Amino acid sequence: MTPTLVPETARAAAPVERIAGSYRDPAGFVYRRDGTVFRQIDETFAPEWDHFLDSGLYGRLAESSIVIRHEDADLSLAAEPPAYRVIQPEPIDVISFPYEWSFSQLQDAALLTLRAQALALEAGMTLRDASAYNVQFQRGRPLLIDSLSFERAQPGRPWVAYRQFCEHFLAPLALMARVDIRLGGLLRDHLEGIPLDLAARLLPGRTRFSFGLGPHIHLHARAQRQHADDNAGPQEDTTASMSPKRLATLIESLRDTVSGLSWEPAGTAWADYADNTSYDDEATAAKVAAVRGALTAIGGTRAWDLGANTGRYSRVAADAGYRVVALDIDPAAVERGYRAIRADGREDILPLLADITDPSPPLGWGSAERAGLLERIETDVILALALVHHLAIGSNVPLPMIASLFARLARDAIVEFVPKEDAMVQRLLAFREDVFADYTIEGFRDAFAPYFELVTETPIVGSARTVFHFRRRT
Amino acid sequence: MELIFAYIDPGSGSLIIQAVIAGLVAIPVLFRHQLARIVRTLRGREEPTSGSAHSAAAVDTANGQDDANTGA
Repeated sequence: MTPTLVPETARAAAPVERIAGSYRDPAGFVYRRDGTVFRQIDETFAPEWDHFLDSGLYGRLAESSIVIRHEDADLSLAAEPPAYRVIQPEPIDVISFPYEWSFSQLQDAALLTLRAQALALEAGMTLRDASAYNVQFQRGRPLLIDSLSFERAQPGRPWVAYRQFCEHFLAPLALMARVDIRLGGLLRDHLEGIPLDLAARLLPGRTRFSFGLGPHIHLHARAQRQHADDNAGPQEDTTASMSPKRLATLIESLRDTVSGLSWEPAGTAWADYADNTSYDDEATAAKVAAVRGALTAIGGTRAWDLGANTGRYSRVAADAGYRVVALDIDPAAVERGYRAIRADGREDILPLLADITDPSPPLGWGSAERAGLLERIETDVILALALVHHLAIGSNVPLPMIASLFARLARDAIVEFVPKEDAMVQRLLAFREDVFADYTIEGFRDAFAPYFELVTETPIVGSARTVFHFRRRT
Repeated sequence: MELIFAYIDPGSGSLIIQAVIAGLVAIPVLFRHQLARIVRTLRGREEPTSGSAHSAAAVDTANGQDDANTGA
């Protein structure tokens, strides 16, 4: 972490902006002061926090990149004194949410959570929550960002976050793997996780007999229904029987169940797109060169690749020194992109699932708890390659509206125009009336002109396409 | 009798059924362990000839989880 050059007293005077999603846990909360993110730890949580550090658990988890690293900060930087401690966690590059993750991303986040719980149990601690929102992708891999999630284990006590784990991770993964990948979208409707009775109803009947989903979803849902009207204090029977060994077995079974679920990216509209484009090798090389040239000229560090597919041009941007978010609407493309960067150990590309025509809205308490996708885009450049025809013709978005949105997102835009005579556009128009009279390269230039200056315009040899580099007018 | 306090709602049904579920799943978990051990032993013997496809796949399933979990 970079040393702070601002005097502590000056920083302590800077206004505090509490992170909207950080309100549930009385043990502490996260806030921004002077642009830096801090976490305040409450006095009541002191014994748990000290144990987390002194037991060596934090060191072990941080060492293996399971839990976010932090540094101690001055107590005068507390947002609401008195605080027991103030810490400065490593900054997260891009915040993303579970409904924007591909199957394997959610699965890896689930396995990370279970790994943290297994290591915590070995150290005499336990996870007090298992929210998917406690995981973020950093340097290409999932990372637990809530340092306050650990408390000392009480002998015989069941895992209090078992329900949350099943609702946030196991239920959506099971629905995606065993019913339909698009059911991952249910997470957008259920910020507290997918209710187990709903998951149990939607899953195929035969999953009742599966070793993992049978107990963890079906039986679990039934028990919830049976005890829905219980008041506090019915737990005396169970506390005695949940031995450390049983607890470890439960975690191991969840791990087996989660890793036993799989989904192969095929059969969605775009799954084979990369093998099926209208580009030949010569044109591809020319397009890569045009994109790389523009990226180098911009000299930025952050790029968002809209409609990235499996991320071929995200890699071009990453190789040019950018940290890239590779957005795509297709779960199969995002899945393939994630698997590829995971296999290559790439740290500079984050594939995310999103629809440009319907980006994740602000959600939760006060419509502010989970920020909308567009609010989270902080970038030097957006790439929109082979995208505009899908927006303009596939989704009927007028070209000036596309230009206006792009101008909101970044100073520079690298945009490919695909004319009507291109086979891909012909496919979009195959069963449609052509109501797109303005969809010409001239109409495209005119639509972008009020928002952007044209920097370069590069026809792609061997194709009818053109790559534009625009810079926003100031 | 001990009350369980958590800042999230642990769900009374989830707490009560947990011990039962942990008991139920112990059998497949144990079975998996034994299977992995047998496969590892077999594979260990076969190592010089790179092992059969079946056992290699089974070991990958058993070990892959650990690898995936380290986050490294």
